[in-house]
Amino acid sequence: MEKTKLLEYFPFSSSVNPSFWHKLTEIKLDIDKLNENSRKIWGYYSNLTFNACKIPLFEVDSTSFNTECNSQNNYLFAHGILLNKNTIEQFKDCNKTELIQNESRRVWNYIASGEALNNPSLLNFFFILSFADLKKYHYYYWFCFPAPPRISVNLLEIVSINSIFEKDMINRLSNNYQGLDQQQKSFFVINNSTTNLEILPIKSIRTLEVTSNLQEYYFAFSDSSTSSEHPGWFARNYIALLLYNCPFLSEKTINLLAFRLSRDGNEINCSSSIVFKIILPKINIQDINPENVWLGWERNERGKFGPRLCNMKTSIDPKCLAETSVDLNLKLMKWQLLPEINLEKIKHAKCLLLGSGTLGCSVARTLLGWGVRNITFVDNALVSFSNPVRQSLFIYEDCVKNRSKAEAAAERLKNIFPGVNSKGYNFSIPMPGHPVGESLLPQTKESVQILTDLISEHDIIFLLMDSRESRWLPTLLGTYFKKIVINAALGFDTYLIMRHGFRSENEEDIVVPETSMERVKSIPGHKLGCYFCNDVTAPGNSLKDRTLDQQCTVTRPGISAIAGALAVELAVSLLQHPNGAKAPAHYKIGNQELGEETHEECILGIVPHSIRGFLTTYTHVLPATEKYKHCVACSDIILDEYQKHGYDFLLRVFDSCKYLEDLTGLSEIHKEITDLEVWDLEDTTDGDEESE
Amino acid sequence: MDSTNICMTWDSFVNYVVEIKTLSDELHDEWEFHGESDNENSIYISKKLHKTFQPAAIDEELINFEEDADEDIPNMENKSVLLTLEYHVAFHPTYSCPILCLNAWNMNGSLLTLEECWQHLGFSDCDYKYNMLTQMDHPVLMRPFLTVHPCKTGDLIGTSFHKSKNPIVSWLSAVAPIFGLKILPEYAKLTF
Repeated sequence: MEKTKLLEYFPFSSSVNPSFWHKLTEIKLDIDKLNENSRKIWGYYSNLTFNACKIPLFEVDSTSFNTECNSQNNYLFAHGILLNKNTIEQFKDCNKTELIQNESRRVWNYIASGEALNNPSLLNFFFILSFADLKKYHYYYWFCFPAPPRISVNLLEIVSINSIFEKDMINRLSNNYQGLDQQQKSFFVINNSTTNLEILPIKSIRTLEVTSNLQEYYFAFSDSSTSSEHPGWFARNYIALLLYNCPFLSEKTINLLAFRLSRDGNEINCSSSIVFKIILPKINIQDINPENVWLGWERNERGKFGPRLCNMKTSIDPKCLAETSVDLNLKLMKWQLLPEINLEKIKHAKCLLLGSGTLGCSVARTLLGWGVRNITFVDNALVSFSNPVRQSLFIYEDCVKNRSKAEAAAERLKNIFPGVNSKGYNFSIPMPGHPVGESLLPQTKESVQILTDLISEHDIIFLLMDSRESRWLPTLLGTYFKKIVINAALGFDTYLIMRHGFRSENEEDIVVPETSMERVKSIPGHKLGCYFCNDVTAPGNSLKDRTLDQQCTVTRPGISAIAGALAVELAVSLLQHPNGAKAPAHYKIGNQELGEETHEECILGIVPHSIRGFLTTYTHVLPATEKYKHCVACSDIILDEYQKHGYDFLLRVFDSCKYLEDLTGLSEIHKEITDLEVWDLEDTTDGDEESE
Repeated sequence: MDSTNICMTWDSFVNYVVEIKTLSDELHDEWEFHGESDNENSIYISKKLHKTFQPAAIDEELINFEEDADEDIPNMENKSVLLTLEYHVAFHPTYSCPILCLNAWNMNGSLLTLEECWQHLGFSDCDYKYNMLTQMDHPVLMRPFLTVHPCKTGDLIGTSFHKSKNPIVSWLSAVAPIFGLKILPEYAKLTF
């Protein structure tokens, strides 16, 4: 007896187009919802060998859900069912045996009813068991291509089509194949009894008889396999169909023609097809019906029978898309203009915004633009009806609902960009010269504690409040905890942006500025002043003794957007400076401005100490001032006192600002200079720099 | 195309891609046509390529689901993991020119990141990669796609290919190979 081996079939490798998951998500959310009914889908495979692809691919994409199959090019289609479960448990626990039995009955019915003879594409059948976790955008799935078990086919030999047919016959066959109806393309019969090869539809096997000369027939199918030894998977169903309809083929030798296409120059032809000469087994047809469990679950990436998982979070989750796009926008700046910029440093900077008014809103929005993810607001007010038109994070509804400004701003920021970690704290910052009564003591203590914690936890502190004295405590704490402090204050048509000096006791922290330029001087970062350094009085109650119209300073509406944006840009420049907060500030002597000739201090340009803007002339000046040893907020005397007495010290200051002046020696100076009657200095820092 | 500002009109774009699709069908070149002619902005063509590459990391969670293999399905050792690259040629209304978009995905449908694509296309170390392939919304599908930035396309077509009878073919055959898509020489006949 001839030595034979068993025919083995090359299984498909499923390949899912991302558009399939997009469409499934859409359908699940908008149409199916909790409905678990199965859904008809289409799958695609090809018998054209792709250039480099040696894998028999079975593809699904968004068009798989179409009612009519509209595959283009050389794709063949398969009929499928999507069984999408509602929970991971149902996906895991459903009875896989029962499932494949149910689904394989469909195929069996197509065979038994004769339907498959009229429309052989029905033999191309698959189903997908899936679970879509639409919170995480994780898709669990398992393909199955049901095929009957226990059909042992003996393989005699494998012959190339080229050694059977002449070249011109092969060409004619190729052309005739292209003209076949899509439904008939997957399985057909070739008869070479006449001089011309004839392609017959599969239903012609009904005319076969025991006496037919089987060697004149080629049982052809569009073969997905790329292997020279194995036909593709759907050949199993083909053999079942043949045996069911023509039981007399048992123990006969037949030609199974694996019809494969390949490219030859501009032409597609079938010369890569091969013929498997096989002996069909003798079987009891009831042994292959679906009561005997069919085969066909796809192996996963590890060669095991198990599901696969696709994580689509980054490409479907809108929040992820927003984050990626925001970051990509900034990366483009890095890639195209500033290759050295450290975006991560900006992204991870924790920003504390003291004040959620016009400045706070403007600063927060600009920070978002820079990709900053951690933004915390502090404010003690509610959104008032005048706010929304000037304060870009609020809407009318916020006023109607009496919402706290800090909390409303934090929430609105998340509406704008869900990737931000924003928080709002509603409390008043205790101020010098605002005595704390008995009843308010606990509340004051708590406020000081929260503010202290917030400042120590953040990297950049923005002072954006509407009064001078409320800036005192955060200035002190910001200096004490060695934070970057950026101060912004508004007048009617003027504004001031300033970075506070960086406190340092260490020699190595001191960056000695180098400058060789004429008429340019510089002050090292640790010697730069704070907002209070130019003052010779302690911050008191600035709202006292003023008429009502003076208590709330009016500003030109565009100013807060300009000043807020400048405050952020200054902070970002500082972050990008190699010395960070210790960066020295340069300034010019005389009337000249710092201009183009100033050497670049950081990749974004210079890092001034302060920016004073005048809208009447649309000009900026960039003065730098030294730290004042008698400063009521950042001098060593004050910081030492705070370190020694902590909250008790603060409480004394809240009770009387005179205490600050005594402590720093300002009182002494006052005495000395009263006699001189020189007050010019104070006028330069007049009270109208503050506003809402 | 006498004005350099308008590189291509929508109508001529449609004509050019229809020409390409028609020839592609003759050549069995696998370009697909999408969209309906009555919906102006829905037309684009696409082509898929496959590439084998290194297997991705295994997800531990799935191991719990696995069953021992005792069925007689042969394990054909097709362990090589496959990457699908899909190229789209669509019309960009702002730049008034064709754009080449591409997406690459693993067999399970998960998309490759921009960085991974650079790696697969072999220009991780290239200085100009940022200007070449970036992420933009597909003008028809409105989903993010890796896109060959259109800012130079207009210039290129306006200066170099303005005499071509099908500037899309001329432009594609110059640009697409950089991104792994070769255009068959047979298409040249559309350009003269």
